[in-house]
Amino acid sequence: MSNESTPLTREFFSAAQPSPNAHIYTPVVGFGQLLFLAGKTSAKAPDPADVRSCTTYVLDEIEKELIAAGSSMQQVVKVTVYLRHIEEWAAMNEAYVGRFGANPPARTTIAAILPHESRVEIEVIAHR
Amino acid sequence: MTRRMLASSAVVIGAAALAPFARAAEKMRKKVLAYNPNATPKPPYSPAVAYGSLVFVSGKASYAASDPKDIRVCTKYALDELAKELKNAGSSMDNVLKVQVFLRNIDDYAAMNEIFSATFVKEPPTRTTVAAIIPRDSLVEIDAIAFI
Amino acid sequence: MSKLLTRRSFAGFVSAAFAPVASAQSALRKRIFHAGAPANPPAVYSPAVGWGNLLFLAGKGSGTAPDPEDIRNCTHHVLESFAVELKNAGSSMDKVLRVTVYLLNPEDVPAMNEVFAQHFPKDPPARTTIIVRTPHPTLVEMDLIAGI
Repeated sequence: MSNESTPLTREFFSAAQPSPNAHIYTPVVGFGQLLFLAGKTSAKAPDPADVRSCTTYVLDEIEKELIAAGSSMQQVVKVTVYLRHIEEWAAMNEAYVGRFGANPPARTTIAAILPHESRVEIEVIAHR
Repeated sequence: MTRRMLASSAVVIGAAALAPFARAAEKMRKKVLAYNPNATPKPPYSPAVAYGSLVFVSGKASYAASDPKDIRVCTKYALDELAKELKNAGSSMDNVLKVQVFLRNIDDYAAMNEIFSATFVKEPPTRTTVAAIIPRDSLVEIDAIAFI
Repeated sequence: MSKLLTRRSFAGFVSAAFAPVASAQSALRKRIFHAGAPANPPAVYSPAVGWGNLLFLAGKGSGTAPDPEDIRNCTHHVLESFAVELKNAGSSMDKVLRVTVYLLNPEDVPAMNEVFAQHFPKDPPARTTIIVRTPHPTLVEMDLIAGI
């Protein structure tokens, strides 16, 4: 709150304990009230070939991380969506709409080739 | 204490409580930084921008690496460049919050990971990796948000 | 009166004075901005989201540029719409901290750079540029983080 308070340091969160890729990256890093989430891919989605269910799965995983870090979907400020196939944008949107509450975050969507042959990857910045 | 003294001390305490906010708000100016300010040609972006306790580092691409076709050499080069920029900004690799990795070839993922995890050994930052075409035929580009 | 002002009640008084500041900090909510009329049906995303001293702008493509086939025109269009969005949210182009540029064609980098430099003539933001495809046919898309 004041300039005299102890300096901020990083905090680390992970919904899964232990975090599966802990030696490479951390799922959630907090700094003050800001939270940066690592991108979540759809590699482990129940139906990895269906972009709608991939999107739902990825958003569910993100929600778990946010809650574990003391935040929520409503507190997300910025989202980046990466699609393997740009033509799947409308289908992704169908699964995306409403997931972040009535005041959705800012978003950028682009097509890129994703790790583990994922169809969709989503990263977010949120606050606590 | 009289009631009047209570009231005036409330004003003083209230003002003192709010002052750090006001001071912090006034101080929020962005600062542009570059570990190599004389790079030519001068890029149309700043290598790093600091704002409050955060620093945003521009993507470091690997086209100038000693072997621009070797993903490990390229990844090490980009991370070393990132480290120099962070140090110049009064930050460090230990203070990195979020990293974005762009790979030309998604198949380079495992090799890039090897170098990445050897660099961020303890408490690594968050990261998103995707494959995209990167300017100047670079194999990898890495940017970061860190704190000071 | 002085007998009633015990140490406990004074402590309570002081923390009550600080409470609005402490609760302002913890109640820091995100704020939504849109320079144009709100979309109908409501858009899937907000054009600008502010939180604390930071402002996050959504990706803006060049599909609605007057000449969507001309990279310079497209780049001007995107950056001009950002200027409007930033101003509406209480920020400005000189408070932009970091931009990500998504281009369709790698050959467009120099022309995009030229126009980018015109919009950020002094102390430009940090930037990363990559080549990707965007949802609607666009030569260029950008997003950014600014300070408020």
